[in-house]
Amino acid sequence: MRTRLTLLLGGGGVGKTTLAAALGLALSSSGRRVALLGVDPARRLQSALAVGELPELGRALPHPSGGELRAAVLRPEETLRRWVADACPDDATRARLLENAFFLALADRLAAATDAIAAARAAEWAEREPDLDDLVVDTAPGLAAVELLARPEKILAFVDGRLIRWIRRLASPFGSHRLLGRGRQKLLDNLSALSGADALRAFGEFISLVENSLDTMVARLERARRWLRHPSTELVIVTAPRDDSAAVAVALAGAARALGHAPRLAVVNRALPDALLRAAPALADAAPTAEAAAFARFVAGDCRAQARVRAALLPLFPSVRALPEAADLDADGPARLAALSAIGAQLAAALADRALARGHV
Amino acid sequence: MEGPARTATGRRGRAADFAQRVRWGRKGCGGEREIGEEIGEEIGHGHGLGLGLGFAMWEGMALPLVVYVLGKGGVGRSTIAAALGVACAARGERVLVMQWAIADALSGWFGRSAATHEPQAIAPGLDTMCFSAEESLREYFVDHLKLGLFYDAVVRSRHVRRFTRAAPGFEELMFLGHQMYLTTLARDERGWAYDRVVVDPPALGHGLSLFGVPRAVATFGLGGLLREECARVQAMLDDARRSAALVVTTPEELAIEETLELAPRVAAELGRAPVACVVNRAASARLGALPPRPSECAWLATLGERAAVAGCDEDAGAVREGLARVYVALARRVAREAAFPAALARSLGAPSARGVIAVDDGLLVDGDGAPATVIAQAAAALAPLVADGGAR
Repeated sequence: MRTRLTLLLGGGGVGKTTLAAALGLALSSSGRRVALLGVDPARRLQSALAVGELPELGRALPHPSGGELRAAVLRPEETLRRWVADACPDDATRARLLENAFFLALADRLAAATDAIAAARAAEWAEREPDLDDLVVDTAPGLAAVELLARPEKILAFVDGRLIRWIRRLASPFGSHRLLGRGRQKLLDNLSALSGADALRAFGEFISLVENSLDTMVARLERARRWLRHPSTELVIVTAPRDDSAAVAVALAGAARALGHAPRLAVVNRALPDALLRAAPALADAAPTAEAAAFARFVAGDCRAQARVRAALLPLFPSVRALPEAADLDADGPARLAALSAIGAQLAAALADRALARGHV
Repeated sequence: MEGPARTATGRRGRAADFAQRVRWGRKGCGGEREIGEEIGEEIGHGHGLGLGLGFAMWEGMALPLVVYVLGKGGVGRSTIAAALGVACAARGERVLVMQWAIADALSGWFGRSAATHEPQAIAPGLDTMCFSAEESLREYFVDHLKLGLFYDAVVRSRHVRRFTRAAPGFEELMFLGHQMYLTTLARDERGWAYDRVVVDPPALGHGLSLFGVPRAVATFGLGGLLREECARVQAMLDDARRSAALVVTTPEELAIEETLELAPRVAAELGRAPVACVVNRAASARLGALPPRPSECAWLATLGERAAVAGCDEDAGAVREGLARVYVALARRVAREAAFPAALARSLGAPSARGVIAVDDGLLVDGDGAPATVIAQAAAALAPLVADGGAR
């Protein structure tokens, strides 16, 4: 795979989206062709980049230093409809599918499969734009994001299953139950008792209708699966200097490892300066008022948390980097983009270090 | 003894026989009617709650049997769920905190090893469990329907398992079904008697769509057992005496933004407003109003000077800068906290803001900061919510 894939994972509110935008800006400033995919349903990527609505297919962003940066926000329902429309042989089939109860429910309820759509969407992007150097994916917050690593297998299992093939045959006009053999017939009877025969038939129809789009999606999921396992792919675990998000980071690292991935870099985002960490223990005695004392406790607690977070992550990752909060991120326009890009450059440097460390440049 | 609270076990005969259910088709075996009514009676009598009250956050209310703790990731949902459990247990209730997460967060906070799908005691009156869709499926077929053979031969078969794992909404339905099971059938079948089930589902996106699942599954045109299951789960969600949502936020910008979107969506999906909104990691009670700029805060300058003296000269600037950064973030939090109740009321179309409960940030409180301490402090803040009459 020519395009390098970088995924940012972490708990809620740790600044993944900001870092993804920052990394995208920095990489594209250095002359690489970069695409950014936001999976977070809150569309924060748009606010992080200070741009208006991003179309489902993505668009090029005005770049401060003339680099090539495209960005898209995942809208699973729209993506799925587009894929289905692409795969339907004719309008009549498409119309029938769009009325199928299972399709409606699936399109409505894709929340659970967002990560699978994201994986397939990433593969689609690389397929449409083979010249891309980097694809940076900002995943949904929390542990659920490992689903992005697991789901391809899950979804593949779903559409590949023998059960699904039997159900498909049920819906086909020539596929009578008799062709299934006695054991399978019994299984289907039992399933009918569970869900009703009508539902099984509707499901079978749904499966046959989406067969073409499923085949495409399966191919893309396969590609995404290989891509995710490619040595150039980086999983970056992001945490805030707080215990709760560090716990998510630790759990994410464990879950990713259980799925055969090895995240190499953890980022402690919005880290406090080391000087403050050293001064913090003495602060409480220096507080002139009750509010100042509460504030001093808060600062000291933050500093202790940061030290704990570092200690928790160090044994789990070959590299743990602290990124300071950028002072200018609250500014507007060029100052903000410059601040973002500077942060991104630090992250890109940390990633490049990792690449060097294992002989990948 | 570890394990769920037990009462005198009385099996009310076997749960409906599968074959009979199938023969009776959509009408089931006539067991459904009583479940809802029994619950109504149990709540009406056993807990002394009035019926037919307006169970909305804005009218002051009592917590129902099942409380869903919702919120975006990282706001401390599990902490608040644990604190709510502790607050209820402190009133003598038998409480279960039901998590659905890759790892059990609660048990460790109470010095226990991780819980599985089977409830384990973590404090007096307080149990926790970590939901597993597969275990739940097994319980449903083997323990509830007494269909061990069917389960082994069909449900556990590789192909069916693949299907149930990947089918959209199926695991969510099992999850909701488990709350219904816990608060109804498990009383007879397992002898469990929880007065309160606090549910800690996965983060926002997932947690929210949860309530729409039975309705969505119902559109599949299902018959058979799944249809009955959906109807029963929907009945539980529709009933303000049996279930409620509680929303957790922090005074962080993104959390507030998403909570203002989440609350009305929960209200729409559930058909009623959340029972309360907890602002976790609140700062205003401890810090008072903070002027927005560090330069305007008298004590911050003093603190900076004294801290700088303590350190070495080169560090002085960095220390002051670090302090100013923490200050600015806190000043913003305090300002957002002050504006939040009115904004929440507006988002829900309510006339005034009630039911907002602040839980102080553990770091601002004098204490050891250990999870158990933080949970105890949060439980104290939540006490008015679980007291009779609820939040006012």
